Amino acid sequence: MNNKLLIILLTFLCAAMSFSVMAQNKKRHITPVQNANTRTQSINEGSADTARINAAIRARSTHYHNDRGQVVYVDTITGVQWVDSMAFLPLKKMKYPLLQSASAGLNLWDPIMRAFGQKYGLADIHLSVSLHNRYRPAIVMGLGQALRRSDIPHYTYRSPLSVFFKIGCEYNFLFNSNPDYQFYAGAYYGVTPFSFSVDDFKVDSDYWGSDVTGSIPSQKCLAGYYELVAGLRVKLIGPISAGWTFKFHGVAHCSKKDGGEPWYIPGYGAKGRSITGAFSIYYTVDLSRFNHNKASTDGHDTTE
Amino acid sequence: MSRKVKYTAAAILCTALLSGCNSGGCLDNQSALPKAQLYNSQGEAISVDSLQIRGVGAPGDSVLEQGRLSTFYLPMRSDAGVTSWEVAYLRKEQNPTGVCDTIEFSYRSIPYFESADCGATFRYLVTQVNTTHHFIEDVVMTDSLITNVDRTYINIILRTADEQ
Repeated sequence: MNNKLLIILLTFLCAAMSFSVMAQNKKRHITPVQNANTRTQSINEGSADTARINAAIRARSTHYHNDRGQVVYVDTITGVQWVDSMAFLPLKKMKYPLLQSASAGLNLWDPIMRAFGQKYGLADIHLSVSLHNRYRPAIVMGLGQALRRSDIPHYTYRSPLSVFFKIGCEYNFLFNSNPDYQFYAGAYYGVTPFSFSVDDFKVDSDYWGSDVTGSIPSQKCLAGYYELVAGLRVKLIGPISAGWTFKFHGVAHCSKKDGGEPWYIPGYGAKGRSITGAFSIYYTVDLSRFNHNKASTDGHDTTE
Repeated sequence: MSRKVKYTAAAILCTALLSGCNSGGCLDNQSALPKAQLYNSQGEAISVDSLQIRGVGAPGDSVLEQGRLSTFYLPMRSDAGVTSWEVAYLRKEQNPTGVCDTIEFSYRSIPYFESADCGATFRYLVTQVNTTHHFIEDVVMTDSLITNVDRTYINIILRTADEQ
C-alpha cells in the first residue's frame, strides 16, 4: 500500500517537473509581435521630441556662413533658413588674410625719458606678425642699463648692460578696418638675467661720531615680469608707423639676494612703478602675397 | 601730420606723468636701528625712572638716553663687529655703589640695498649677546637679523619687580 502511494507521488512529481521545463522552454521561444502598431509606436512616441525633429531637419539640410560669420542652415525640402543659436560666439568675417604683415619697431621711450632725467633704460626692438590684421604675436629683445647717483641718501647704483626678452600677443580691435590705424591690447611676459651693485653708500652715525661707507658687490639676479598693454598705432608715411603704448606691469619673480632688492630690472624699469609707456617707430612689410588663398570680399573667409 | 605729432606728444606726456607719480618713498628707518623694550620679571612692559644708556667707547663718553625710559634705540657700530652698552641705574637709594650693567652685542654687518628712496644700509646679524646681571636679569633678541624695519628687536628684562 505504502509502495503504491510512493509510486503515485513520484509520478505526480515527475509530471509537475516536466510541465515546468516545458513552460520555460515555451517562454524562451516567444517571437515578437510585428504589426502596424508596433512599427509606428516609436515614431508616434517621438513625434513631439524636438531634439529628434531638429536632428532630422539638420540631416536633410545644408548650411553656409553669412556676412556676420554666423552658420545659417537651409532646409533643402522646405527652403526654411535658420541660424544656429548654439553658436554663441560667431566668428566675424576676416577681411584680411592670415599672413597680413610683419613689422619691426624700435622703442624710443627710454632714450626720450633719459633726455628728461630718467636714470635707466636703453632701447628695444619689437618684432611681430599680424594675422588677419587681428592677432599679433610678438617678441621683444632689448638692452637695459642703469646708473643712479643719489646724494641723500648717498649711494651710486649700477646695473651694467643686460639683455631682456619678452614674448606676448596683441589683439587689434580694429581688425576689419584700415590697418593704418590700430587700437590694440595685449599681454607680455618678460625675463632678464642681470646684475647690480651699489658703491660708495654712506650710513650716518650721529652717536658714534663717524659716517661709515660701504659697497655691495655685484649681485646676479634673474627676474620675470608681466605686462598688460594697450596702445594705438598710426601710419605716418609709407611703411613707417608710430605707436604709443600704456603698460601696466608687475614683477612675477625675482631671485633673492643677500645684498638687497634690485631697483632696476632691464625691460621692466624701476621697481615700485606699476605704470609706464612705450613709444615706437615701426617698419611694416606686407605679407599678403605669401597667402595661398586671397581673402575674398564676399563674406567667406578662405584663409582659415 | 602735425596733428599726429601733437597727439603723439600728448600721449607721451600723459604716460610720463602717470609713470612718474607712483614712487613709494622711504617709510622705514634709513638705517638699521634696533629698538629695545624694558620688561620686568613678570614679562610686563615697564618704564624705569633714572636710567642712563651710554655706548662703551662713544666719543666723549656721550650719553645716548637718560631719564624715564621704556623703549629706546641702540645704534650699532657699522665699522665694528662688537658694540657694548652701559645701562646705569642712577638712583642712589637703590644703587649706592653706582654699579652698572653692560650689554655686549656681537654681530656681522651686512651691506644691504633697501630701495632707491631709503638707499643702502647695514643689516646686523647678531651672533651673541652677553650681559652682566646687577639689575638686568636677561637680554632676549626677538630676531637675530636687525633690519631697518621699525620694531622691537631687543627685550631687556630687569630684576626690578616693584620699584619702577
